[in-house]
Amino acid sequence: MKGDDSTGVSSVDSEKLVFLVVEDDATNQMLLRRALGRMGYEVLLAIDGETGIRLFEEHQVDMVLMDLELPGMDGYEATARIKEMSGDDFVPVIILTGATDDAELARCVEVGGDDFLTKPCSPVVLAARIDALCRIRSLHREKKQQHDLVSQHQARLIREQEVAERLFSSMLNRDGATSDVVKCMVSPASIFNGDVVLHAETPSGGVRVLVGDFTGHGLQAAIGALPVTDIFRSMTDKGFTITDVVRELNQKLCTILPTRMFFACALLELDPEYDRLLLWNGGMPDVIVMEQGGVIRKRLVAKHVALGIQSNDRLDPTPEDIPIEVGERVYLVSDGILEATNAASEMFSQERLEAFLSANVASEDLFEELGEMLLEFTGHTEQDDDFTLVEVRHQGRSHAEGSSSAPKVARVPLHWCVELCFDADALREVDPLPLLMQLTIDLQGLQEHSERIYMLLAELFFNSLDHGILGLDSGLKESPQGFSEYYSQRAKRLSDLREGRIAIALRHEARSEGGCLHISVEDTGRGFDFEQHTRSMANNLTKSGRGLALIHNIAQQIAYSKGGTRVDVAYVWHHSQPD
Amino acid sequence: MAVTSEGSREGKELTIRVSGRFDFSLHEEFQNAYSGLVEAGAQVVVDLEHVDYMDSSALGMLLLLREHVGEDSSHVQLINGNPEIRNILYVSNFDQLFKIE
Repeated sequence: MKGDDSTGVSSVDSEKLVFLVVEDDATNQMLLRRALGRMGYEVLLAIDGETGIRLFEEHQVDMVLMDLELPGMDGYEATARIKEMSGDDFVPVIILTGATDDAELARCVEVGGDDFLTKPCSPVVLAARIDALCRIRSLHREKKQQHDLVSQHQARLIREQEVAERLFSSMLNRDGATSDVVKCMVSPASIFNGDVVLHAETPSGGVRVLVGDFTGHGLQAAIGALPVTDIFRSMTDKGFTITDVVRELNQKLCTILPTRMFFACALLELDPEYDRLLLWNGGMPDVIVMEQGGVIRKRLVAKHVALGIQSNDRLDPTPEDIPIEVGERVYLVSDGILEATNAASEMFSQERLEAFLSANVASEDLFEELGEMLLEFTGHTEQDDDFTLVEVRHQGRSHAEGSSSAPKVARVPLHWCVELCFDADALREVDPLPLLMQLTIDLQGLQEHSERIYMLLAELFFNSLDHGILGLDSGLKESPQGFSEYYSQRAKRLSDLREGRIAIALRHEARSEGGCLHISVEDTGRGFDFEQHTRSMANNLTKSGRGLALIHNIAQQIAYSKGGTRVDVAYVWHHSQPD
Repeated sequence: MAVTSEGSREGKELTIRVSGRFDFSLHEEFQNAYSGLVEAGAQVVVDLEHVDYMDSSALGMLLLLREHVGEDSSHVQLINGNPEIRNILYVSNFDQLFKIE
């Protein structure tokens, strides 16, 4: 190797560390090359700054030895350029200098030099310095690798969350899905949301809504929403009552949620047929019932603890039963709206929400306006919690007719019959309607008719139970006071029931293009004056008589016998037209 | 310290005092204030006099405490909460789970 061979590569071995030596003095160049070679490193030589930078660009250099006094571009500038080019990567530069004055050394550090050596340098000192820098360099590499790994993981987690969030949204119908009756606003505080909003039609043509709030936010809060959704949907479809759903939800959540987590929730059911509102509120803010003009008629406070805390034997799953008039609206909120704070740390509060709702009850853009108002109120402060507001409107009975799920084809008409008998114990404990509905769907595939069949079964069964077995006076239901009196008497008599029996028989007869479902219900009660009932029904529709009117509307035949203790109806269906 | 506790009668009684924001950040501190100090059946008083904010994770922590000493409303007393704090407890119907005074 000759002194003027300024750009030669001394050896090529990818395993070895590659050193770039920028030095114009031939003697020094040779000494350094020999020393580094003996230590087993590969050496690139440059006689000036420009060449050094070019070599640095062209090769993967691991460490640089830089002379300060060079022709053309000096060592300071070359060092600064090399540091700039290496970017994130740590390529140590050792500056070789003849001088020892502080100002010059300070400048070495300033341009990015990692260490300096006074020329001529002893091989022992050189080796020690290189070792030290190699250690720093490998630490740096390790850190960078770990950092890259973490970034990759994070990117993957975010991608996964996004996918999961999409799945979740579609499953929970989070897109603020609305109908004429139910309108929702949900705005998540994080990708995953602790709030749950579900709504479904009941087989009897009513609508059932669940608004709930899991403790905390994010994934852990959202995960519980899956079983809740599942239970709510499937049990509502099958005709189970709110009581059953509350019990089942609580049972499930007690099992799966850790102690510190729970699920505050309100379940509401609007029964447009009977102008009834059923509500079970466990730990949610007040549910508001608002008259058409915007006057708040009722605030329904939570009477129960949230779900997932107490076992079922300590839980009262019975909903409140409230009469509701056509045109009235019911509002459910999660505490996120009420606890949204402004810059002065004031909460949005129940009062502000009620004032807003009262003033804007008729607005078509209620939800947008509330959204804007909340934004204005909170300013640009970070949103702490999830915002949820649901409105349920009582629009009268008409909507029940228009609503229908996807048409499902009925099975080939078959002949079959079943009979079920319930004694007093069974009547207290079991709701036979879901079972009967399941039978007609499983045996005959009559999903398309399930609303009507459910109505018939429910009317007949409850008439028989309420009046035949429990001896309740339906005249009570005429006034709002009597209405609740009726249901409290009913609950009491049912729990005291020790005698009585109801038999329900379903007989299906195949006909061309469809079939006929015969339903008979017979009880051991005292019966009633059915002829009188039929007459009064023809004249006016009282609240108590409406049930029978409904049966007349849906069923083809209706016949009482055995002194009013037995009723037979027939429901005819056709393949082509459900009407 | 946002959470302090003081026991007496050899693990049969304990008073826990919480101050400031009672939220998830106190999770560990709150748990350390009773675990190992009292056992099932002990009487625990949680003094909320100096709490000015409380969220649902605080309710969750109280449930953990309740589980620790036995799930009976007579074992854990929540005292001195300001009207807002009491309101949160009542809205959640925690009066069915704890003695609130």
